[in-house]
Amino acid sequence: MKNELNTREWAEHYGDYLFSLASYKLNDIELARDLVQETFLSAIKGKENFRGECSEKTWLVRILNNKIIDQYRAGKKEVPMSEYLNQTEKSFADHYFDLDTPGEYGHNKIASFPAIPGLESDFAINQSELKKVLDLCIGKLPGSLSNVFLMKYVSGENADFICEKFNLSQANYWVILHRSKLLLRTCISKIWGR
Amino acid sequence: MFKRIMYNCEKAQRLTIKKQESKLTPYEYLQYRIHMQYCLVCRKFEQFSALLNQFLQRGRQGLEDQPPNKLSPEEKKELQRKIDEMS
Repeated sequence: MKNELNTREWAEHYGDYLFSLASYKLNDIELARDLVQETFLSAIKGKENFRGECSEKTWLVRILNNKIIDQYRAGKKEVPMSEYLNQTEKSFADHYFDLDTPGEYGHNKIASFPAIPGLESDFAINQSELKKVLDLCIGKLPGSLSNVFLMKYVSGENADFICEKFNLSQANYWVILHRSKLLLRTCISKIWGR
Repeated sequence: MFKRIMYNCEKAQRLTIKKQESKLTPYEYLQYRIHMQYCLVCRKFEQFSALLNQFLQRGRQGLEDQPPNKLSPEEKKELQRKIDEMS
């Protein structure tokens, strides 16, 4: 049968991947270890929910992601995302966009947009160096942004899942990805451009 | 409408991201095109965003193919024992 789980080699097949994913996103090895175990055990408990529509691996990652989101929630008092975005909108706009020109925000301030040597042209770049810089910069993103950012770009979850789990409107989803990328760009250019 | 989108980099960049990740409506696409025609900064941002996507995609693949954090053989054995016990 197609939708039957084969649990015999789970730890060997998926253990390291789930562990790495959780460690990267939570920055806490011990917690990651626990969550991997919980993921496997919940998967077995809920095995009748596995309908074979996706691979075993995808299904396990989804369960893990749900657990990670629960951790985010438990970690701190919950400020609704829309409120967070409203509160920070002005300082963000002031920093990046020129409010004196007409229009809602106006052009980006050129000064806050220095080109990144090598990165924004077809240029051989040192991949592992860049990865280090990027990880560092992702670590500096405000938590509310990075949770969404990581769910999208590291776990590869889709917009519908993320919006539902973080209780986000589609519009705010795009705002969050945009802000994250702008902040990352600034951070990378500061380190990389030196 | 023309002026509003001409000067609105914030919106143009948000549309850029949406375009890269999913699909723009025809009206959004028009706004995006008009802005990009004139705005060097946003073209630069678009390039950055695309590059970042590529890079993150590769990173995601790498994490899957060669997970950097590994459970020890003992941990795996113990984990598998619990799994077998439950299933």
